[in-house]
Amino acid sequence: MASATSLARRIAPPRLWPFLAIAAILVVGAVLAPLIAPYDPNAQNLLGRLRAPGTEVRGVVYWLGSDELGRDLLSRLIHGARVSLTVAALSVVASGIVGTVLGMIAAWYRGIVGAIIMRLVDIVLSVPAILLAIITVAIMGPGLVNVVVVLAFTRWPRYARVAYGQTLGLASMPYVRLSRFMGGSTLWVLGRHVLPNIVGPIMVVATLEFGLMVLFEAGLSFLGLGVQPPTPSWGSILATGRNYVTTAWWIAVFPGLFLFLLVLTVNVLGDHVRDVVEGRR
Amino acid sequence: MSGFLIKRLAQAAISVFGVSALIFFLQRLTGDPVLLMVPEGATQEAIDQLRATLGFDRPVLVQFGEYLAGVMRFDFGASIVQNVPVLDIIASRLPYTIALAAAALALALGIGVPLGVFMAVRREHWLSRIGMGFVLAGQSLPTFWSGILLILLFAVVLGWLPSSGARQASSVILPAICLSLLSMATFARVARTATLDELAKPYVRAARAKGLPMGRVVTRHVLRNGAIPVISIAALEIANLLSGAVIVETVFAWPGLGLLTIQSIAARDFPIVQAIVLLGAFVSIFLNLAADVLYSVVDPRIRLDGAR
Repeated sequence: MASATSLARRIAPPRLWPFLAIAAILVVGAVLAPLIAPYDPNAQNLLGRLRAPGTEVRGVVYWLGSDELGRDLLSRLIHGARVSLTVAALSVVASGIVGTVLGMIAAWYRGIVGAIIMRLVDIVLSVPAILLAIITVAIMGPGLVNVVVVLAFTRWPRYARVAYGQTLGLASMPYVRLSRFMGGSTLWVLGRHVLPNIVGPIMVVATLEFGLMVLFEAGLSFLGLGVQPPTPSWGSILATGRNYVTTAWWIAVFPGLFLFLLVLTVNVLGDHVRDVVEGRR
Repeated sequence: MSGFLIKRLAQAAISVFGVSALIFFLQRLTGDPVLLMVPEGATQEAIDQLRATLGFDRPVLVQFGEYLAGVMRFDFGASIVQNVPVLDIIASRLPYTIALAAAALALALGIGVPLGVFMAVRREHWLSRIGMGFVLAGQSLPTFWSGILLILLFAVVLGWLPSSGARQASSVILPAICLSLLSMATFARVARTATLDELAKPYVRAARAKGLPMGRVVTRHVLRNGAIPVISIAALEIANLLSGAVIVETVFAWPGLGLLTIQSIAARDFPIVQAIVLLGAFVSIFLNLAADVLYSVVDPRIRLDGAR
């Protein structure tokens, strides 16, 4: 039992508990949004426009205030968590898969294939990510699916670089060479022997990227290039709030606070994952 | 040295070419570029006319050759909305972005580096604990939120500073603070790590043993040796500041290139968007190159290894 406790403490030391709690609340809130949110996030109420947090209008209590159309801010933020987490998760998975596969292929075949893939990695990484995302959205048009595609397209090189370096190191290992020698196909060797050994470092990149993806989605939505209204996104709610900053501070302050807490949590947990995987502590 | 430099220059040239090609083919692969440039609801006749005027009815490779030739001469065509050369419009906005980025860089370096050194030298001090919190929070802070908080506090509540625009000199203060926070946290973190690495070295103990006070050890020896990582990260941070300006300029309505980008997307003025992204990529490639070269000049050991 003692070893189980120490393992638990290594994986989740007490200083991380507050962050794990925040993560749990946000994830549960996002998954159960329709059940938890007190009101319909898109229900407008012209009598209840721009009400301060805690105001009650005809039996409707705006715990975090209401926006310019009288929609309940808390309900919109809970539903916004859904958008944030979904976009971030999908883009991390998409860019992770594309990047890992391309990185492994580049390291396995090397030569001209590897050179082309890795040059492409350098090229995409040389464009500032937010600019690349902005021009791609400008070309493709906004929307939830497009944002995921754009983020995946912008971020896959991060994974490709790590997968490339790791696979290169593993390709010369005796067991990998033996597996090939014994007739293992490329797909078998890469999937069965290489992939399980590079998952750790890839996961580290993925956790660190997750926070960035949340910020990117919110940033694009803030600029009007991301998820389109009336779908509630923290970024687009914030953009509205900017216009009412003198009269209704809560519209801008609360989505930003949620966003900050989510990204901070992801970053703290991501740092911890990196420490555990890299064997520190 | 020259071999390393030539190799790095060749890499940068390939990147410049690659980015130009990437942006060009991104447009062609994902749809009709002319549709990006006409107002919504334009007639087929108007679309065809614009297509012919802009030369989009010719073979793609011919277009690509002309586009590349244009990019090499920094000729990005004319704005569709204003019918003025794109470069002229960019030139009129560029000074604002440079001023904003320069002010943010000065703030980030001026506060971040001393903070980082202090956090390394006085690890248990209460200020160091706050500093570590700031480093952590700074990386998670969305600039479009911190910007609004700054406006709320200093413009709305206190009324000390203008909330947006660029009409007076003091207008730059809030956007510069907002833009600098992330870089400031980065500089503090890098300066702290670099200083800690240096403090652990034997020469520091030797200097202390011969009776040199800690303050002098730090200013005379540690700072000089610890400067290398800070210098090299500074070049990369300039690139981050320039791209971060897109959002910060939008929050504060600061009339630089970032706001121009967003306005041009809204106005469907695609040549401007394309030119800004290309220029941003070129600057970023150049700064990366500069960082590598600078690194090898400051630390000769890197030269011997050839590439990174």
